[in-house]
Amino acid sequence: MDHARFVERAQEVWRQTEALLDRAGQEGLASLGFDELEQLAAGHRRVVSDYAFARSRYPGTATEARLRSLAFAGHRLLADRRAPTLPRLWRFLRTGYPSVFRECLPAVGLSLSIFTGATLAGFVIAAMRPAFATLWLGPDAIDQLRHGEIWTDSVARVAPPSLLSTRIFTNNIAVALMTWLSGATLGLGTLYLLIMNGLMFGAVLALSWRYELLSRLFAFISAHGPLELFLVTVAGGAGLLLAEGQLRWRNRPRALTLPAAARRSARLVAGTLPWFVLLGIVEGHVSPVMTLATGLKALLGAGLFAAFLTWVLATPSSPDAHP
Amino acid sequence: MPTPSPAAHADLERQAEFLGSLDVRLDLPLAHVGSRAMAQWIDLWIVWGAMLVLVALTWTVTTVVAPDLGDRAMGAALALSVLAIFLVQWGYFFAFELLWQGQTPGKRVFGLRVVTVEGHPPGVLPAMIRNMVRLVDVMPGVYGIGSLAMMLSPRAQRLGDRVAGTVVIREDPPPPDDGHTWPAGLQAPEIALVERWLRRRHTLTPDHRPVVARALAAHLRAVAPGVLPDGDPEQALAALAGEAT
Repeated sequence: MDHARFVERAQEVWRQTEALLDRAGQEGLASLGFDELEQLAAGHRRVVSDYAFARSRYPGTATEARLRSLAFAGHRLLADRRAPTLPRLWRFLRTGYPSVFRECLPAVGLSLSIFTGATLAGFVIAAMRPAFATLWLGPDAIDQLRHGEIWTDSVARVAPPSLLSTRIFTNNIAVALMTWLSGATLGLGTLYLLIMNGLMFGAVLALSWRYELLSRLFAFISAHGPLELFLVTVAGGAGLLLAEGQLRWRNRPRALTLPAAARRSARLVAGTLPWFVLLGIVEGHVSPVMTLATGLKALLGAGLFAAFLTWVLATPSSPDAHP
Repeated sequence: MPTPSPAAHADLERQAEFLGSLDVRLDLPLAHVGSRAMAQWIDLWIVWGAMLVLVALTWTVTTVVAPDLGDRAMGAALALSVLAIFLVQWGYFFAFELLWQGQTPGKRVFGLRVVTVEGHPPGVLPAMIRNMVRLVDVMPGVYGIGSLAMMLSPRAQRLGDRVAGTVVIREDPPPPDDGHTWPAGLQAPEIALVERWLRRRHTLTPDHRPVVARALAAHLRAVAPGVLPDGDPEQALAALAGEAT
């Protein structure tokens, strides 16, 4: 077929399709009537097959470029992409996340054991040889502890609770996201963060114990601490999943297995984010109140932790768990 | 004279293949590192600008407009500002790529677009993943890991693209629809050649232009006899392209 016949026989369809694609792109697919939608679907199929012909017969010409651009615009528009609606988000939080969490339980368990192991190691080392703690804690921090000060004392004085809450939860979300995505370095980043934070936490516990500050430390952290630490290890689990996607591709192309692992790990992190907001509010408003009995705070901390575990472990899975 | 084939030009372009509608292969040109860096530069200016405006706004409200705010109100105002800055910082790329079908303002300026490896606009998870892993890509220094990954990748993917399963492609504006057709004797390489001549002839110097036109006309007359009208090469080429002379 010569160029003139090729262009003339289909030109009208291309123009109609282009006009419909433009309108659908600007006003949305819903603005098209039924007849127009049928026309668009037929026109798109025609454009695509004409593009295939033009690519083999007229490569490098303006005709090919024009058809490619039309075929791509149609492909984008007609792609099945479900918009993130509030009902979908709600369904994810309601039933989707718990089943994702249960699927990822081994990774979370591994992350939790690494963090716990590092905390124990940090505690034992700092308790036996306090000097070693300087490897993970700054000299200022140790000096403060030695003089009976704890950073939690000053936290409450510097800022009103609402500002404190916002600062805390934005910071904690950033920490969780960093812990997750540093898994993209074959897991080294996540391992480093989990181990370092475990060592630091263990050392703080040991030194607080040594300088008899433990009760004040617990008074500050027992309301928000348990769940907060756990959620960071969940983010660590997500980081390990990301690393697994990079390291274990078996005999499938990594270009396929890595995005699949990444999506799973992103879901695992996404469900923790609203809890950080809640914990930030607790940490800004409840934790600094030193007149409140530690027992009550611990009760609140245990309650929050139990609420999270009930949500993720006891919610029955639903067939359409994945958004 | 040897003919520069359009394929030689196309070889300089790296393309990504997608399986499009009706299982027809869709070849789209990949974005170059340069335009991606420029687009990023524009986006960063917007992010920094927005954060600066937020800080200035908060400062103005709390010290000039209402300097005698109570502790609680002041705290709430600052908290709002902290939240807004956090959202801009972490959500700018994610929100734009999700809502603008894979484009940010910077990418729109340079005609770039993020698509999934299936050629679709990125959904929530791909947009979230590629823009979070950006923090790894920018390290160390200025996009150290990202540039290295792009160089090693056949599809010029930075680490975030690989992890999210996305590709950044270039959308050239489609050629104008003038309805022009070419005579039967002319094959694709010659059509592409004449089209490039028409596009670029105005950039040639007055001395050089007739020389190129003569060589092109001679080539066309040799390859496809009888297609090109007789006479002055430039006018003949214009007539072939359907331009009124």
